[in-house]
Amino acid sequence: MPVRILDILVALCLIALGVHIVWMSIGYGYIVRNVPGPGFFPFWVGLGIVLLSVLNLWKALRLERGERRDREGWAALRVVGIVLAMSLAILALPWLGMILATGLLIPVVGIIINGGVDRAFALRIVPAAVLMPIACYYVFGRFLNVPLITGVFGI
Amino acid sequence: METLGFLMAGIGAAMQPGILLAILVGVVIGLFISVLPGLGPAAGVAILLPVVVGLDGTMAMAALAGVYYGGMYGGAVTSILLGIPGDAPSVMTVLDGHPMAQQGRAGDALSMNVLASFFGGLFGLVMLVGVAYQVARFALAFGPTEMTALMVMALSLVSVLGGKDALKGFAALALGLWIGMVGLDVIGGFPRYHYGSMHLLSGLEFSVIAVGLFGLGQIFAAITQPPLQDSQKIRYTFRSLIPNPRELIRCRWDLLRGSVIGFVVGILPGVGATASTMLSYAVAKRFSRTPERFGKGAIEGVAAPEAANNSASYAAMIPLFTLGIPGSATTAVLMGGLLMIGLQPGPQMFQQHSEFVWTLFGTFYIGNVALVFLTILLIPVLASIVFVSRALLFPMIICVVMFAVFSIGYSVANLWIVIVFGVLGYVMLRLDYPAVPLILGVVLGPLLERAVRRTLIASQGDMMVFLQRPIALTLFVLTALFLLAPLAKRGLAAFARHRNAGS
Amino acid sequence: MVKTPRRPGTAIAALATAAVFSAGFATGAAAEYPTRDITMIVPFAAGGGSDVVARNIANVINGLGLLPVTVIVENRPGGSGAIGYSYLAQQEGNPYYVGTVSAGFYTTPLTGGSPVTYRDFTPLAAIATDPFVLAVAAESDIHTLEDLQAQGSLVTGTSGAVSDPTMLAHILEDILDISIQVVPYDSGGEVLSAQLGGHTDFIFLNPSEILPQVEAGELRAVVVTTEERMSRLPEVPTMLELGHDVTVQQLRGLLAPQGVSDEVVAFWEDILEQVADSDMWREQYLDRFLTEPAFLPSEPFGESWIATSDQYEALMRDLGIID
Repeated sequence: MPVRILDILVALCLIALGVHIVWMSIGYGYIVRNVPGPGFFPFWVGLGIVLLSVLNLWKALRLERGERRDREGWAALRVVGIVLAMSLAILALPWLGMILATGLLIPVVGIIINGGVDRAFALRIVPAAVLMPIACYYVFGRFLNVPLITGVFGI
Repeated sequence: METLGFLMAGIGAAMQPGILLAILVGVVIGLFISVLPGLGPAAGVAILLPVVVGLDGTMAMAALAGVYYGGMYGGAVTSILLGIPGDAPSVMTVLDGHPMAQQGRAGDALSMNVLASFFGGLFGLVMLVGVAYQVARFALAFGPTEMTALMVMALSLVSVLGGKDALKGFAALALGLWIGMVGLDVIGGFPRYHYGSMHLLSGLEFSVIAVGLFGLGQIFAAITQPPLQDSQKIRYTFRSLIPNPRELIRCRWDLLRGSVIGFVVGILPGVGATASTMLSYAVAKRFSRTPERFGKGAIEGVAAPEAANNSASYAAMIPLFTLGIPGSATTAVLMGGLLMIGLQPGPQMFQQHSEFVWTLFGTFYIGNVALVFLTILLIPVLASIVFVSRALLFPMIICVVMFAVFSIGYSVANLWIVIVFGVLGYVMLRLDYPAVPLILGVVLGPLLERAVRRTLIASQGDMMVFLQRPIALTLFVLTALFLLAPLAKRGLAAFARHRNAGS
Repeated sequence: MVKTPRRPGTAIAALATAAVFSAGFATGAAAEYPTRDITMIVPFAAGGGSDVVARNIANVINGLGLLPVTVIVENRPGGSGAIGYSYLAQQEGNPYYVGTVSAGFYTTPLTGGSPVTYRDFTPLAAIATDPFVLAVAAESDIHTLEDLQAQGSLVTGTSGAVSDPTMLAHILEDILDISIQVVPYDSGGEVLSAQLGGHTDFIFLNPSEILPQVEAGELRAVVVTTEERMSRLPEVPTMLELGHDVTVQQLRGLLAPQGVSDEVVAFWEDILEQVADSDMWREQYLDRFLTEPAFLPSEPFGESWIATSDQYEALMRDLGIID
C-alpha cells in the first residue's frame, strides 16, 4: 500500500478513535462534585487526537501523489503473513497447547521471512522449531511456574 | 565517617558463603529473568519468595533484593541486541542501544550498559547509605501538587523526544495518554474503555505494549527491508566487548545526570524507575551538543537511562528502610518479604535491626560488583546471536515473545495485545509517527491525571494551590524556562544575525 | 474479636472420613479426602496482602502436617482479581482447589469487571481479621474524635476509590456531620507517604501499616474500628465505646468453588480452626502482620460476604460509580 494512502487511512482512523474517546468520556462524567471526574482527561485527550489527526490528514492530502516513493512494495505482505500466522497459532492454543503451537509457528514464520525453503534452511529451522518451544517450556512452565496452556494432546 | 564504619562492618558480615551464595542466586535470577522480553523483577520475586521464606533473614533479603537490582542490569541486553526491551525500565535503552548494535557496535553498547549500570548503582548505593534520612524526608514533601508539576515538566520533554514531524509526535503522545487511561480509574473507581473485557479492566500492561511496539514492530520493519549484504553485516571484535574507559569519561556527565535523576525520581512514591529513564534520556539529549545523533546510536543514549534505572532501584528502597513505606510495586514485595521473615519495616528499623540493615546494604555492594563480572562474562555469549540469520532468529524470538508475553499475567489476551501493538509499531515506523512520545504518554499520563485530580479533590476544586506551594511553583517555572529556552536562543541568534548584518 | 463456640474436632474428622466425592475427582469410592495436593489460588501477585495470607496458611498446614498432602500456592493475577476468581469458579465441584478472599472479591464484580461474584463460591472459614486504625500526625492538634469534628473539613487518603477506608470516611462524615475530602491513592504505601508528608489530615489503615509509625512517634492513633480495644493499642478507644455503632474489619479467609460437598466444607473448617489455634500461626502471621485472630466457620463467613458486598454496593452507588 502506498505510504500516502496509508498515512491518510491512519489519520482517518485516529480521527474516528478521537471522536469515540470524546463520546465515551462524556458518559464518564466531566466534572464530578466540583472537581475533574473520570471523563475530564479522556475528553481533552480525545479532542487532541482529533485536532492533531485533522492536521495530519490535511498534510497528507496536500502531498503530491507519488512524492514519497514506496520502497517496500510487496514485502509488506510478509508482515500480514506473520500476523496471520501468529493469530492462527493463538486461536489454536486451546487445541494444540503452547509447545505445539509455537513449534509450528517457528517454521511458518521462518519460511515467510526467508521467502522459501531450501535444504540448508530446513536443516536449521527444523531443529529450532523443536528445541525452542521445549526450552521455553522449561524456562516458563517449569522454572517460572507459569500455568502454560496445554492442548488436547496433554502438552 | 561513622556510616562508613557501619558499611564496612556490613560488607564484612556479608562475606559469608551462605550470604554470598544467596546474592549470587538472586542476581543471576534477576539478570536472567529481565533478559526475557517484558518480564521484570516481579516474576523473579514470585519464584524466589516461597523458596527464601525458609531461609535466614539476611540471606532471604539478599536474594530478593538481588533479583531486583540484578534485573536492572539484564533488561538492557535484549534491548540492545534485539531491540526488544527486556523489562520496562530498559525501554529507553532500545532507542540508541539497538541502532548501535545494527552498526556493529553491540559490544560498545553492552559494555556501556555494564559501566552505566555499575556507576548508577554505585551512586544510588552511596546515597542510600549516606543521606537516606534527609532525602526520605524530602521525598515526603512531594504530594499530589508537586507531582503534578513534576509530570508537567516530564511531559514537556516530549518536545525534545519527538521525531521529525512535531504534529505526529503530539498525536502519538495523545494516543499514549489515552492507552494509559484504559481500565479502572484509580480516582473514580470507574471502569473506562474496557469494552466489557476483564483483561482491559486492570489496564494494559506497559511491558506488553513496549514488547509489541518496539520488539515486534522492529521485526516487522526489518523483514520488509531487503536483507543486508555480507559486507554490511554486523562485524565486531571481541576487543570491543571490553569496557572502554574513554567512553566512560566521554559520558561522565550523562552518567552523573542520569544517576541523580534516577535517584531523585526513584525515591518519590509511586513514580518508578521507568519514568526516571525517560527523564534522564530526555535530559541527556537536551544537554547534548549533538542532539541529532540521539536515536541513531548515540552512546550517551545508553549511558543515561541505564545509570538512571540502577540508581533508582536503590533509591526506591530508601522509603522502605527509613520510613517503612513501600514506594513502588517491587519494594512492596520486598516489604512483604521482610514481614514474612519476621522483621517489621518502619521508622525504627535502622535502630532496632541495625546489623541486619547494614549487612543487607553490604550485600548490595557485593552484588553490584558481582553483576559487573557476570554481565561481562555473559556479553560474548549473548552478543553472538547477532550472527544468526534473520530468517532463523526472528521466528525464535517470536516464539520466546509468545511465551514471555503470556507469562505476564498468564493471559491469552496479552498475546493479542502484543500483536496489535506490533502492527501499530510497524505502521508508526513507516509513517514517521515516533514511538517514544506514545510510551511516554502511557507511563506518565496516569501519573499526571492522578496527581491533578488528587490535588483538586483535596483543594475542593481550587486551582490556586498549584501556585501556592514552593516546590510546585519552582518546577512550573523551570518547565516554562525549559520550553522557552529554545525559542529564546533562536530569537537571540536572529537578533545577533540581524545586528551583524546591520553593522 | 468474633467469638464462636468450639466444635468437637473428632466428629468433623469422622464426617470427613465418610465423605464420598463425585466420580470425576475421587480416585476410588472409599478414598479419603484429600488424596492429592491442594492448589490454593491467589488472584493477585506474589507479595501482596492476599498472597501473604495464603502463603502463611499453606506454611502452617504443611509445616504442622495437618493434611496428608501438600498445599501449593498458585498466583493467578490480573483483572483486579477477575482472572483468578473466574479460573477458580470454573473448577466447580472440585474440592482440590481453594482460594483467598480479598477486597477485589467484592468490588470487581460490582464494577462489572468480573463475570463471577461471591455467589459462585462456597465459603470455607475466616481465620483472621484486619481492623482499621484512624491515625493523625503526631504533631497534629487532633487527639479525639471531637477534635476531628471541630475541624469541620478534612482531607483523607485511601488506597483505591472503593475500599473500607472510603466507607469509613463516609460514615464519619455522617455521624460527625463534617465534610471529608477522600483522595484515592494507588496503594497503602502511597497513603502513608501522603500522611507523613502532611498532604492529608488523617488516614484509616490496617494495624500492620499504622503501628510501626505509631510506635516510632510519627503518627498518633485516635480510634480503632474493632469491637474491643486492641492489645497493641490499649489506650486507644473503639468507635463503639464512643457511642458510634461502627465496626469495620476485613475478614481474611478461604473459599472453594461452588458445588463442593458439605463434608469438604466441614473438613476445611476443622483444618482452618487448627491453623488458627496453632502457635505457628500466631508467631508467623498474627504477630508479624499485627492482625487480630478471628475464627469464623463457613456459615457466618458466608453471611459476612453478603453483608460486605451490600455495603460496597451501597458505597459505589453513593459515589456514583454504579447506578
